Amino acid sequence: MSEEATQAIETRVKDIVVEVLRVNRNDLVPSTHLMKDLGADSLDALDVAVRIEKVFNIQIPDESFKNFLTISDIVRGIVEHTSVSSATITG
Amino acid sequence: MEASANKLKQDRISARMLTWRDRIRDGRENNYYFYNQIIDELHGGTRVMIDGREMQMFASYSYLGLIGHPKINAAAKAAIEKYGSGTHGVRMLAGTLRIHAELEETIARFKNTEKAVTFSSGYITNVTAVTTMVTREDVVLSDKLNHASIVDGCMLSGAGFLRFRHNDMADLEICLQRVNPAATILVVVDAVFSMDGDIVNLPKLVELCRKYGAWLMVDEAHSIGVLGKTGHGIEEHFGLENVIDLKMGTLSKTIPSAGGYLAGSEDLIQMFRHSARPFVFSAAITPAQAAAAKASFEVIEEEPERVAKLRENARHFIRGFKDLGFNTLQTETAIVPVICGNDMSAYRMAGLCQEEGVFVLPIVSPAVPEDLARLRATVTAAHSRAEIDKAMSVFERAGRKLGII
Repeated sequence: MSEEATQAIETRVKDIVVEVLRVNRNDLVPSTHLMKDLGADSLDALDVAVRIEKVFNIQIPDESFKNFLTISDIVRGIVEHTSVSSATITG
Repeated sequence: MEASANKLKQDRISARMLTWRDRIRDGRENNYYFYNQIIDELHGGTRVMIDGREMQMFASYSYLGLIGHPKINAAAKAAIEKYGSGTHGVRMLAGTLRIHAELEETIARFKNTEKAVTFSSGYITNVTAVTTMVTREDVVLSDKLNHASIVDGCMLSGAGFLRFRHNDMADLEICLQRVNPAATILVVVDAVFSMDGDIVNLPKLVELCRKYGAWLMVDEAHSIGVLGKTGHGIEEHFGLENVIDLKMGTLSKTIPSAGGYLAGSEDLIQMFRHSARPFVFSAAITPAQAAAAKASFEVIEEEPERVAKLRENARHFIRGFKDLGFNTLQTETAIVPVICGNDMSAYRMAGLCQEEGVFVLPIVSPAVPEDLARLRATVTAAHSRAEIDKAMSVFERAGRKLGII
């Protein structure tokens, strides 16, 4: 996947986290952990995951949630599951 | 692996079942499994017999020490003599007895509302309250630390479900501003939060609900008998009257019975009597439970010294922990979180205390955040100062041994 496409994914992921958790975008770096750094609990993580599934059209199995808890892990997970170009990212 | 009775396939149910089996086995073998212990006898309000040992009970919800109160026991026995042990069915059909009506009148008077209605459990009461009030075209705003029964009700209702930061009125306002102004909104909070013991900011909450036209529901499971000079709850505590649209409480904590109630205006409660699924599809509380609960509300009003004693005991208890250097978060009530750190610290702390005869329980993730695992210790009006001081020395020894203090 191109650098550009990965960046686009990261931007969209940050949009989602900022909206669902009501946090400051400036607080988000790749290593930011939803629970340890942003105070998210398990229901918040579920909300974020459901939004990500919808926006990126992927399925995250329940058991894999724990691998989707930092910004960079989320982006990597999406890159791995998503096929092809940024054109597949829906609004 | 064992097959179930009628199938041999390994699937996600079997996997879940075996995960639990392994987890519990691990806990038992390594001495960090504390759940489901069987209490054989209750000695007074503060001591219990478990496995042949007498232990000091510091995990009770019977805040005013009413379990075994002679008037309450007598009322339950008399109800069994009068009615028997059960009813003819669900409340809406053939299951309503005079004692149910008397209990509900007592609750309405106690909570200063027009009417009240009862259900089989507090959990069920919350699920029904939320699912009857809001549906998928509405919005429900819930404090992040609300009880699981409220969360389950919110999810089941299908309503837009927003959770605001714990007791954070600024965050609640942000959420309210995000909601479509034409939407029907319900805001739900615990009066006293069951893991942290802190009290909700009712005055600000009321102000915001009025500003945005939202209905307000408050769960007083841990505040009846605990808050307010005479134990009438959170409105009395803040000196407010009838600012809550839907008042919810339980009959299984301060009130030593089982069940839950909703109290509010006549029209609101009438709606619940006809459309609340548990009212229509779940068991009525038994005559003994109803009579015991009714007598309990009367005792709370007849013996206000219990409420004062609880308040004094809670102060002494919290002071004891703080003086030793424990972190008790923001509690102001009989529920005292004693922060241990990670899950294993909480398990070990509970283990050391139980070894020395103090019955307390650990609360670990995911019920609480990973580094804030704790003991949830409670104190009641039945405890003597000497019992509290003795337990405190146990907490001190355990805390020092584990390096928590």
